[in-house]
Formats: sequence, C-alpha cells, structure tokens
Amino acid sequence: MQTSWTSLTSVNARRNPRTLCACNHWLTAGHAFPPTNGTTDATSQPLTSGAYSPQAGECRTTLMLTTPVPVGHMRSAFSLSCVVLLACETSAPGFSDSGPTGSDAPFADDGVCSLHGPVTVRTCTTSANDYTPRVASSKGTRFPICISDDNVYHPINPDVPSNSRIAAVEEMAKLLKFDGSARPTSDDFLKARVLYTQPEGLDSRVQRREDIHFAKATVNGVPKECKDMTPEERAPFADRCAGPEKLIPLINDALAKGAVGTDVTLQAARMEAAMVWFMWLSFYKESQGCFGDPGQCDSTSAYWGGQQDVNAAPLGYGKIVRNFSDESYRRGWDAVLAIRCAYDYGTAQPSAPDLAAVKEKARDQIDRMNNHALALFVRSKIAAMPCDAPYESLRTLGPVLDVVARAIDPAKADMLKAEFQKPAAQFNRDGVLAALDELFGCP
Amino acid sequence: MPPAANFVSHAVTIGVLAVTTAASASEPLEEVRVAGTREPGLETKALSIARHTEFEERLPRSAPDALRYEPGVFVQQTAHGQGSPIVRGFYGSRVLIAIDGVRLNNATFRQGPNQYFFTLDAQTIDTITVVRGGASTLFGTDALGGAFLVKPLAPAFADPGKQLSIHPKVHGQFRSADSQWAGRVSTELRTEKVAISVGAGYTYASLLRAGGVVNNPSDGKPAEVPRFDRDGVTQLGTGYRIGAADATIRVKVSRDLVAIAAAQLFRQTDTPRTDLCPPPFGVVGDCLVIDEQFRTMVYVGLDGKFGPGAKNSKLRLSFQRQHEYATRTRPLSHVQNGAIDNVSTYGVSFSSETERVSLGGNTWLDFFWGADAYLDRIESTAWAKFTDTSQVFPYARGQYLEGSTYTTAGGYGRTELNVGRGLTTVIGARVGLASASLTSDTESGKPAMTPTWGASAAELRVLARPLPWLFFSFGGDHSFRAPNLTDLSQRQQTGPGFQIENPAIAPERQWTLEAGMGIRSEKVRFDTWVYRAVIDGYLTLLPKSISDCPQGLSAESCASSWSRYQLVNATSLSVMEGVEGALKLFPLPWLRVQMTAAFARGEGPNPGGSVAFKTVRETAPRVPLSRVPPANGTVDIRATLPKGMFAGASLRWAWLQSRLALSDLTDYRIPIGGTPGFAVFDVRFGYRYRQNLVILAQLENLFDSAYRSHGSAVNGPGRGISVSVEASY
Repeated sequence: MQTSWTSLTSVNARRNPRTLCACNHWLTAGHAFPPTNGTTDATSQPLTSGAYSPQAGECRTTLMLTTPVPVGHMRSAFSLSCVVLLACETSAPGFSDSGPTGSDAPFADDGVCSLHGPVTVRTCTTSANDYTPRVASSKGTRFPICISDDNVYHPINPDVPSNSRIAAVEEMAKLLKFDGSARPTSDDFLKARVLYTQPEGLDSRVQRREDIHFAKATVNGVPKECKDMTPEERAPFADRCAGPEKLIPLINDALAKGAVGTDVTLQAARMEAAMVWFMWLSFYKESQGCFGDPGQCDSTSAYWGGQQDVNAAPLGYGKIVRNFSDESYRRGWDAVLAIRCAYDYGTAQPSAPDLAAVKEKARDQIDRMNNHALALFVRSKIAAMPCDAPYESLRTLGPVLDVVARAIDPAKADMLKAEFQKPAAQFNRDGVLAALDELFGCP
Repeated sequence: MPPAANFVSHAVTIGVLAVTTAASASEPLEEVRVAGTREPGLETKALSIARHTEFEERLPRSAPDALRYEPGVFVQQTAHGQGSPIVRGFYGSRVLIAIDGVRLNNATFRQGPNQYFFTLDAQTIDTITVVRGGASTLFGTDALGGAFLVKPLAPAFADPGKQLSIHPKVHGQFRSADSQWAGRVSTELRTEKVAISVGAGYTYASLLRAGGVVNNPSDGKPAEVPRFDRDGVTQLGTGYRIGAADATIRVKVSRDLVAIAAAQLFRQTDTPRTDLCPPPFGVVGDCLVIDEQFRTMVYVGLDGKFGPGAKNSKLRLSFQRQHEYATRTRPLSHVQNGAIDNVSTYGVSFSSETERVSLGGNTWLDFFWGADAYLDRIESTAWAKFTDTSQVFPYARGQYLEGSTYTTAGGYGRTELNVGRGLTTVIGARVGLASASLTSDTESGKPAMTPTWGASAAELRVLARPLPWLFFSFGGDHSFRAPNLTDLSQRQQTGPGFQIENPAIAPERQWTLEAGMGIRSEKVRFDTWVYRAVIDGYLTLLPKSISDCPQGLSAESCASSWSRYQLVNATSLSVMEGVEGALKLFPLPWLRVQMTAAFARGEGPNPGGSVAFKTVRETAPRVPLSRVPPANGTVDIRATLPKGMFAGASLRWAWLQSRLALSDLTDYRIPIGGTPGFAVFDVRFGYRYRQNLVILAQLENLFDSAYRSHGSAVNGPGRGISVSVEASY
C-alpha cells in the first residue's frame, strides 16, 4: 500500500474544538493544519446533548458601560477592545452536572440473570515440562535451580506500575458492578471513564496493546508498531493491532453509552469483557518481553495477581480465575514464577546451553495458563446464558480464543468460530463448552 | 560520521569560507565598545550583550535563539515553539529574566527548562544583556546562574527644534525549514517631548523539517523523541503561531525625567509539545498542545534623575499576566485532558545611583541602590472532557493550588570604589524575603500553609586594569533562590516522570567564586572566565515509590508512570564549575571574526533513596547535575562588502554530552547514552542601506546535519533558506 508522506502529520495535527472570542479568530482562522481525518475530536459526534455547557472561550475582557449603548456600537467597542488588548483567554469549560444524564432505563437482565455461571474445572495433571515450585521435590529437576524455587515472586524492581493498572481495573469493577450486585448508574460510568483515561493510565496501555499471537503489522513491507501507524494503516492489521482497532472502539462505545444511561448492565458486561481481554493480551505480552526487559517480568506478575505476593489476595485477572478454581489460580503463579526463574537463569548463566529451552518452556507454560484462564471466563458466561449481558461478553471474547484454538485443533476452532457468530437462540451451548474444555481445560 | 570528524570537517570548511569572504571587503571597522553596559555596576562581572543589529543579520528564530552566540549560553528546546536559554549550566527558575527593569520570572517557573523566554518577541528587543553567574544582589531571588536583562526597542525623541516625524517600519521573513512566515509593522511618532511607538507582528510556523533522525549513542537506534513522519525528516509535534503587539509612550516630564508607559502582548497558539505529540510510546494522534501561551505586560514608570541621591533612576509599576491553556488530546479514546493556569503579577521596582562621591585624588565612589516587590496570584484548574458525549469532569485541583499567592521583596545597596581607572572594588548586599501562601489541597487533604524565607545576597569583586587594554577581575557572590509555587505545589507529568509536590523545600543558596581576564583593544576583544559555584540545598529529583503517590485521582496517573519523583534539597553541597571565553577580532577594517566557547560541569550528591528511577539505580556518591550542556561554542565571521553589502558565515558546535543525571536517564528528551555532538554551519549574505533597508538571505544548516541541543525534544532545522526584508523610514 502506498502511503502518503503526510499521512502521519494529518493525524498528528489537530484542532482543539473550543469557542473562541472574536479577537482570537485572527489567530486561528485559516489554520494551515490539514483537516482532521475523522479520528479527531473535531469530528466526533456527541451521543447526547445538554451535559456540556459551552462556556469555554469566554472573553475576559469586559466593558464597563454606564449608559445604554446600541448593540452595534457595543459590539464594535467590544471588538475594538479585544483587538487593542488582544487579551482574550480561553476559560475552563462549564462542567457537567453529576448524576444520570440519560434514561437509565431498566435493562432486561436486571434482577433476572446472573452475570457469571458456574464452571467446573477438571482435575489436571501437570505437564512434564512445567515449573512446579509448590512441589519442593521438583526443585532443580524440571527447571534449573533458580530464584523462584522458594515459591516466592522476587520483584526485580520494588515499584511495579502495572499494579496500578490492575488496581484501576478493580476500581472500575466496583464502579460498574462487574459482579452483578447492582445496576451501575450513568454517573458510575462517567467516573469509570475518568479513571480509565487518566494520563499514563489504563487507556494509554490499551491504545498501544498488540496481540503478539499475530505477525507484526507492516507499512510498505516494513514492520511497524501499531502505535506508529495511522488508522488507515492499522486497519488491515486489526488482529495484531487489537488494542487500538478492537478494544478501544469497544471501550469507547461501552463507556459513552453507559455514561448517558443506555443499557448500563449490557455496557458493564462489555467493559468487563474488554478488561479481561486487555489482561489476557497484557499477561502474555509482558511475559514474552520479560527476557529483554526485566520490568516486564514484574508486569507479568502484576497482570496476574495485581501485586507480587503469591499468597496475598489476588486482584484483576488472577482474582477472576480464583473465583472458578483455586488450583488454576495457583498454576498461574507457577507460570509467572517459571518466567521469573528463566530470567534469573539467563542472567546468571547467559551462555548456558539449555537457556533457550528453559525460556521456551516458561513461555509455553504461561501461554497455556493464559488461554486456560480466558476460557474459564468464557465458559462462565456461557453457563450464564441465555441472558443478554453474559452473551455479549461471550460474543466479545469467544473469537479472541480463535488464534490459540486454531493452533491446537483447527477443526474445533472452525466450530467455535461458527458458534460465536450465531444468535443466542441458535448457540450450541453444550458443544462449545465441551470444545473449550477439550482445548483449554487444563493449564 | 563521528561527531569529532564532523566537527573537524565543518571547521575546515568554515576556514576556507572565511578566507573567501575576507577577500572582498572594504568598509571601516564597526565601533568597538570597550565599556560593558550601563546596567548599574555590572562592568566588573562576566557579561555580554546581544544587539538588535546582530539579530537583523543572524535572523534568530526566537528570543532564546538570539542568544546562541553569547558565551556561556546554550539553548534547549522542548518544543519547536519553546526555548530555554541555559547559562553556566543553569536554566528555568535558576536564571532571572527582566524586561526593562521588570522581573519576568514568576512563581510558576519550573526548575527545569521553561518556555517563557520564548514569549519575548525578538523583533522588539534592542539588547539582551547576559549576566553570567550569581546576581541576586541586584536582581533578587532566582538569579543563581545569571540574568537576562532585556531592553526593548524604545521610541526616540525628535532632535531639538524638529517637528513631529513619523517613522514606519515593515519587516517580513520566510524560512523554508518550517515554512515559516513572519511579518511585523510598526511606527514611531517623534516630537521633542513625546515619543510613541506601536507595532504588531504575526508568525506562522508549520511542521519543522530536521536534517534527520538523531540516534542514541549507546545502541545506534533512533531516539524515542521526536517522532517523525514517514519521510524521516518532518518532525511531528512541531509548528506554532504567534501574534505579538506592543506600544510604548515616552514623555519628557522635566529636564531630568522621562515618563514611560508600555504594553507588550504576546499570543502564542497551537504549539504542540514535541516530546508529547505523540509521546514516546503513545499512539500517533495523541498530542499535548499548548493551545494558548499568552503574556501580557503593562508598566508605567519614570526614568532619570529624581534628586541628588537618585540619578540614573528607573521606577516601574507593572502588571503581568501569564496565561497557559493546554490540552492533551487522545482522539482514539475521545478524551481531552485540559488545564488552565494563570498568573497575575503585580510589581514595583526602583533602581538608582547616587551622585559620584569624590574621596580625594583619583579615588571616587559610586553607590547604587534599589528595591523591588512582586506579588503573584495563581488560578489553576484542570478537567477531562469526553468529546463523544460532551461531558466535562472537573479535577479537584490543577497543576497548582488555586488561589495561592507568592511574594518576593527586597532592597539592595552596592558600592563601587574606584582608585583611578586602575582598580575598582565592588561591595554589595541585599536583604529581603520570599513568602508563599499555599491554599489547602482538597484532593490529598493537605492544609493551607504560608512558608516564608529570608532572602539575603552579597557580592565582593575587584577589577584591576594594569594596562589600559588589559583587565583582571576576581569576585565572590552569594545568591539565592527561594522555593516557588511550582517547587512547593506542582503535581504533574514531566519529562523524567510524575512530579509529586513537596511543600517542605528550603531555599537554594549559592556561593560563587569567579575570575576573569580580558583584553580591550581596537583589534582584539577577549574575555575568559573561570568559575566555581557551590550550591547548598540544590533542588534535585528524588525517585519516589508508588506508595508515595498523592491521594485522589492523580494517584492512578502517578502510580502508572514510568517513574515518580519529588523535588528535594540535596543533602550536601552541589557544584557547578566551568570556563568560558569570547574572542572578537578585527584583523582588517572590513572583517570581524568572533568566537565563543564554554564548558560547564555540574555534580551533586546522589539523591539516594530506596527507589530506582524506572530501572536505573546509581550507587555512586556523587552524580552529574541534570541537563548541563556539553562543551560548546560558536564561530562567526562577518565581512563588510562594497556598496552596503555584507556576508557572513557561522558555525555552532557542541560535543557529546554523556554525563547524565539520574533523571536524565529516564527523560526521553535525552537519547540513550547522551546527546551526540554536532557542528552546524550557516552562511548569509545581505544588503544594508543606512538604517532604512536590510535585505538578508541565509542558508541554514548547510550540510543538512541531524542534530539537537542537549536536553531538547526537537531536532534542529535541516538545510533551508531564510529570507528577510526590513524597511523603515
């Protein structure tokens, strides 16, 4: 695909939509930045009106008039004073009132459906290649002797910023009642959105998250990171650029609709699915990057437990899994410790002949664990059908598993793909549950 | 090509060109000014003056850019539309800026490089006196590294007996590297008693084309900032527009006194922060833009003799307003984080000197004195706006605490004892105070507080002239900088990480020893200075843990950052030392050659702490100070040609800077391993007809070098042409 050299600048250049007083127009009129291409704020259409009081751009210049003055003269005087003083400053926008801004109409699922169904996890034997730090007798047998053998995660850096992202996910879970304990209000959605979009917070990571199960995206045949691509360039690589191309539209839509009170329970389910998807992507991505950037080892542990203590109450991804199976949750830590172990081994013995194999075993263990965890979540949603909210989660997350299912059993992957495209009434609930169990039943 | 080889190659080239241009000139030598300046009592100090005539010929892109050829000054740019001059390794709030005697610094000046010197319109500046080294005795708090004293162009009175005359002036210029267009119109009305000038200008700069990507010295990979367009040379996050206007009225109110009223308005809009547009790891489209960077300055005053004890006096009553409106837009997520920070400053200042007191024989005494007071008042707010739902969510606080104020006031006296023309001894002292009034922080529950500090300064200098053309100077200076509202209360994302406020900061106090020697003759002007400044309580960045993050919504942003830090006073003394020199030669009547070179080295105690800056942990007891420039310098040659024509060539160079502070290692504005050295070569050719017409063409960055000044987020302009025309009557 031939790309115009101005393509990035046209995305980069943007105008801030604001009301300006007359005397600022001479500075902004005829702006030479190219027009935005639909991804910028200027072209965004509001879903609702009335929440925003457009007071931005009030001119601070005031005229003290003691006698009535014709409007035309007043305008002239106003303009003149602006031009003379050039002193117009944009002021802070009017702030939205808190509280519901939309209908907050009852949703069909309210009070009827559980958002999570029961999941039975079969007893699994441990793979011969898996790291098992909880079994003291396996020390030094499956993996080399390493720092993780005491079944404790030893952080490489004391501060792990990824913990705060999981904390934010937890906070959103409370605001939006992912547990189904109540209906979130539109105000809860607004607060959740503020939390989600904190600078350097969750949104910043979702925006650039790639699904590294897929091949790297390219521009004119040159591999590129999705963050460096325009929307047009990313579009053909939506699977790889999962964060900006799939998650962001989903999250934007769910939060925006929730914030104006549209199907809040359904939007909360979509947000929950989006967060699980993000954690699935991140857990895998960080684990695979650990050997090049030790901070990503710590992030791997953060995405699993929300903290670095194997025995502390988990948050985020691990917490979800422990709701279904404590053993699966523990196996998750085994996998995290395997990665930490392999990093430690590589640091201590960088030229060890079996280093590559150790790293590969750790990667494989965490990959299987990650897919098992996501499948558990999907299975719980299937178990909660036929309600709409769980089905929405299912439709969102089921296809995510396609890439890993296809690597194991293409026929089953085809079957799952077809089922996840069907309407709820035609969905082969038992068949899908069985297939998921066969593919991802054991970590 | 390695930096050293690059430099040598360019140096050889400039030598060749110098010979070429020197071969065809014939006009008389320009006036050699032996005296320093009439800023009170500064002659014994290291200083230099940048003049409007030089601006006309070198076409600086901005006021900071106009200082590139001053010894000891290095210019950092976080954005294309921002610039911060560094003097003797100090920058930001450690350097004082004054305009016609009115202090520009306010309580929101960061200790890091800031953009405020860029808010001066170079077209309206007559001279900038660069005072190097501590200067708090005369200028109060902040003048640790020195002071930039800006003298605006002022309207002249008509000669006695002349009638009203009007002198319009038009200036226009174009630069190809950023497709920049600039224009200014102004006029002066002159009578014997009243002189008025008014002017207005406009500048539009588009995306800046660089010579290319600057690579990390450590791994050879491209630096994370700036981000480039597909062509590899167009820098994202550049461009800006500026409207500026000014008016000055001078009235002779008596034989000895001139009243002045002046207004300066600077309106800069649409200026992306190059390092955050997009951020190093952000998605294309994510952009922090300074939508409005406004400065309004109005002052009235009297100049002249107030009485026997107050000649050469300057009284100023001033009001300034600084307005910043910034938005960080992430269009992909329909979110815009906005912030508005306004500072209103009310000031009064007075400087004067007494009549010369003869002590008999060849001995006399000059006494300078003055006082000043400034009050800053802060408005600060921040919000998140969701553009798809048009909902706006206010944050509990902005960068600063709304309603906070800051006061600084003091008075000084300075005596110059002259024994003949051979020996001058200067003794000066200042007493004053600084006080911050911080409102309570509802987000984190911190109470209001009003810290106050004494602010004293002193200096002692001796200047000896053993020969009429030779001088030696030796001096000591004690200067100070009181913590300001940024230090005490600012909470925001910065280059090195998230800054957590620290209301317990103490002042920085600095002792400087400096020695200089110089030659003043018709053919040679030479200065060289060595200095060593020792700073007690130097503000440094202490890495902090996530557990130290403030409560409230900022907690998520703070905890998610790559690193967090808090400004703290260094636990032991920090040192900035260096050497600088300037040489100006007039080997032939039509030829001028000038060179500058500077080297500074700063180090302080390791801030320590148990937390790493991102993954960086330094165990050495002492570490470099942040963003100290590398060895750098300039060469400039100017030849006067027949029939009003002139030609010139210049070289700017800097060595690799790999001595990095801990915070520099996590600052994406600095490539991994340091900032590579560079040599940039410009040539120019012009025509001047008296004072009425100047036409200039300049070829900038002749070899299209990819370069950047240390600490900058934007690379320097690539090869391009600049054309300027100025006509006046």
